[in-house]
Amino acid sequence: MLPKIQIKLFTTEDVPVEGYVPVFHRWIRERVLNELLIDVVDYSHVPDGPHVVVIGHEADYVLDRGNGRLGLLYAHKRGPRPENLLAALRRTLEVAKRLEGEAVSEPLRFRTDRVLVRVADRLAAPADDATYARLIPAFRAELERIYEKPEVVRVGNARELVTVEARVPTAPGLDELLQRLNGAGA
Amino acid sequence: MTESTWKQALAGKIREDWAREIDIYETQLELRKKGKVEEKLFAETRLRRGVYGQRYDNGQRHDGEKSQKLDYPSGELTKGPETMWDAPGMQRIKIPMGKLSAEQLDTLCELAEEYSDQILHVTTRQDIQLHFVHIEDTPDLMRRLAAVGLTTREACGNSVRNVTACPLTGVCNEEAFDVTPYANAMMFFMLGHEDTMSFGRKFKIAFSGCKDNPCALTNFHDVGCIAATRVVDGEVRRGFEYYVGGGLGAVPYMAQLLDEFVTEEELLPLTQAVARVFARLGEKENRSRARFKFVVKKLGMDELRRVVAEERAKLRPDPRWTAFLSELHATDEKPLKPPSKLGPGPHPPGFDEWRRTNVRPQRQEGYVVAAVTLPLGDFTPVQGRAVADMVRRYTGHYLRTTVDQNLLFRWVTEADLPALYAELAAIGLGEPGADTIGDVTACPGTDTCKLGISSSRGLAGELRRRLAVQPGPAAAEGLHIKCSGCFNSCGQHHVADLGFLGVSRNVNGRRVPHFQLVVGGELRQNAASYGLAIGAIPSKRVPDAVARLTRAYAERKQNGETFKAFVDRVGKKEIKSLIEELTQVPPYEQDPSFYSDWGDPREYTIGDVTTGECAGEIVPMVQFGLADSEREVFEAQVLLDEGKAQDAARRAYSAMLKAARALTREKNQNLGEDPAEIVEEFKQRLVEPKIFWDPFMGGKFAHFLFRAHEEGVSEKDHSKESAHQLVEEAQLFVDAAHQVQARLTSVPS
Repeated sequence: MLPKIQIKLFTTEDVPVEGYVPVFHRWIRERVLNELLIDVVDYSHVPDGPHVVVIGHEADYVLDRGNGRLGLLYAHKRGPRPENLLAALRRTLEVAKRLEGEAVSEPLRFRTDRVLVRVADRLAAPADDATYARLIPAFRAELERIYEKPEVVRVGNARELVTVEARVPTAPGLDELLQRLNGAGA
Repeated sequence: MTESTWKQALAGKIREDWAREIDIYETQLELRKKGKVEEKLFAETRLRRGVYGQRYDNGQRHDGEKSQKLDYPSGELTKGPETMWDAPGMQRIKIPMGKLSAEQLDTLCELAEEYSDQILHVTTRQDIQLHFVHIEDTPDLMRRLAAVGLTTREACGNSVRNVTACPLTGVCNEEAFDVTPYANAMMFFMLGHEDTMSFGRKFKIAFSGCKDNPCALTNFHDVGCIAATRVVDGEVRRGFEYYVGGGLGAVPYMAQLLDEFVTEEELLPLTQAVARVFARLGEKENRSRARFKFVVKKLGMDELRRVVAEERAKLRPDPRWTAFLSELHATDEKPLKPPSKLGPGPHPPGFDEWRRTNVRPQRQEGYVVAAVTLPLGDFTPVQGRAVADMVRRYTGHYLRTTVDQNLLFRWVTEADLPALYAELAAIGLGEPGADTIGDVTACPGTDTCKLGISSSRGLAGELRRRLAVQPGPAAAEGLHIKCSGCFNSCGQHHVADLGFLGVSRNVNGRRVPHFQLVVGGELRQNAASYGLAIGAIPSKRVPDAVARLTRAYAERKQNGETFKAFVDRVGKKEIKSLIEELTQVPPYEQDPSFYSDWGDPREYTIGDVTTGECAGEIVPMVQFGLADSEREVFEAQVLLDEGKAQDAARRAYSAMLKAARALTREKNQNLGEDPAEIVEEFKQRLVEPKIFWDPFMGGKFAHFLFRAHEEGVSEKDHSKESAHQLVEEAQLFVDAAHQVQARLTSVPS
């Protein structure tokens, strides 16, 4: 599996996310995720950036506003890599589901008809035609196990990280998608 | 993709000495993981490469209710005293004089994306910092920086830190001359210089093009150089007013004049001599008294001048002292476009206000400098790449970071301003207000610093928000607010109009975050005056205090007086009375928000404050040399295992030379690198007096080096067996060197 894979699920609406800062602090206190979480960083002052970050050892979880699109970004950093793209997606969906269940004044809701995939390693995956030619079909093949006819398009440029977006015309809710992942063995 | 490592991918693209240093550092990492490098030595090694600890790296974090253990996978492996191996750290990157090329900025953005939390941070000393970086990523991070001419070496630790300079130098209306080539020469001359290896504390150098403006803040630096000219024999000569012994920290000291005119030829050797004095006379035990300012205070200026002159006289001439003078214009910047005037408009919305606060004319007609206001010094890689592109298209190759934690475009034509502004606004960097009251400076504070007591960034963020919505009186617009998370002054609160330093107070048995209000500081004239703390205000009331004080200033200032003059005139007692009622903390039951800090919902505690790393570890120069020799023996063994007998033999000989030189240099600071000189000096100073002497083996180990040298190891052919023997002898020699060092420093066996 590729190192440092990142998955972003977009929200259905752009809502304020400051209310999740205490949520993430509680996640650390109560060790709600089965991995080491270290700290919470609030970058709400930076436009279109990583708005609220939960720093973990293996992965960061970010309420991210990159390119003006709010979403949950799972960013794997080190340690055991997700076995494949679907495993990374599963991790992201599980955290997204947990976020949806938190009691905040303007709760997040996630859409599943768009998924952004990035690889934060320019050595293993330089943003060139050869990498995209290799990754796009591979990602599409995996996503076809849970989606119908997903379109996977290149969205990053040569200076950015390798970035693709998976798009489907309609998509199931979080729960059903997680069940499909179970069925796919991811 | 054909390369499997960054080392391979960047082969040939990094200057050889830098590549070697990074390889050495990487070897040190591996040796540390094997337990073969002592903890403190490793800590100082990494600090001297800008690899810094962060809050919670002792493996403990207060969660608002109790302190929790952070179970890092690396277990008990540490990267320094009480610093867990896997704990995320901060990487500081030196940006000498704040001068950054578009290509360098692009690389920094890549590193932020791949190794940190996707944010780049400009510091109050013009550096860039990346946070939450894992130590095992740092060698590759350093290689990628080195490939574009950036180094992290000596960004932290007991070393010469980043050499800063006025970001307007070269385009300033008031400077004597462009200090860029001098600051650049100083940076590279002092980088890794042996006379800086035995400091007991950090050492900071700043250059200013003029005396009156605050840009370089030379008055609070260990060495501050202010450009000056003098007519000598009818010729205008360049030189510097040379100040020493400034420093902020818990108790700030103003720099004092060492020499009113140091010629450009004397600049580097004089600084080398000052460095030797600091290395020799600086405090090493009591870290809180180890800065150079305490040496200056203890000696007094007359005695300091005497000892500096004494050291200067002993220096071995170095061609680097003056070599740069023949290439002074190598650092000049040329504009990309011819000058042109601003068009009549219409201009984009917000442009006029942005231009009013963020744009200044340059000395060169038709050009301006334009500041990019960064919120708390932070920006994203997407923003950074866009700014790099703007540099390429509008101004040429470079921009500058500033001590106000902003970026600065230079050589912008007036005609291009609206387009530049529109592009900045499109990426969220079009905020006006640079260098105004809303442009609040803050150190990292409790966000990431182990020493942070209160949230300087949280406070600064709140002040920025409020002042953006309610700017306050126009008369107060030019005031400066600076916030430090603790008394160590990394936010430079002493020189602000309104300075705040983080403290903690006990209120009815609970800890409450506060900030001491510091007034009386002055940025002008290179930080001419330091403020004093007049009272602690609960963190949550500081914005109200700012509003009251600025209102009072606007209503009562006389004859255009500065805020400092206003404070001096009305008196600190009066200032304090203005905020007295704001110092009260409501009971917890009435308002629990006072009991947590800005931006952090956890109940406030100082339980996460631990030992900082800014003081580094005291590691004598000789120990670094012996560690180097140890590493070379290890490398010789690896080469032998790889079947490279010739290389292994050479490395073994080099290891012995390094160890010999490390010990001998304690007796002769001017010892060079020539093997013949090293061997002769080693023989005379250490072997013949029976200092390098084993009680049982006598001078046998020393003879390993003598024989290797006499036989000309480097030129001779070596079989596997002869190389093996040499490696064995080198290990014995290095072990003996360690024993000698231990004996000389009376370490119990």
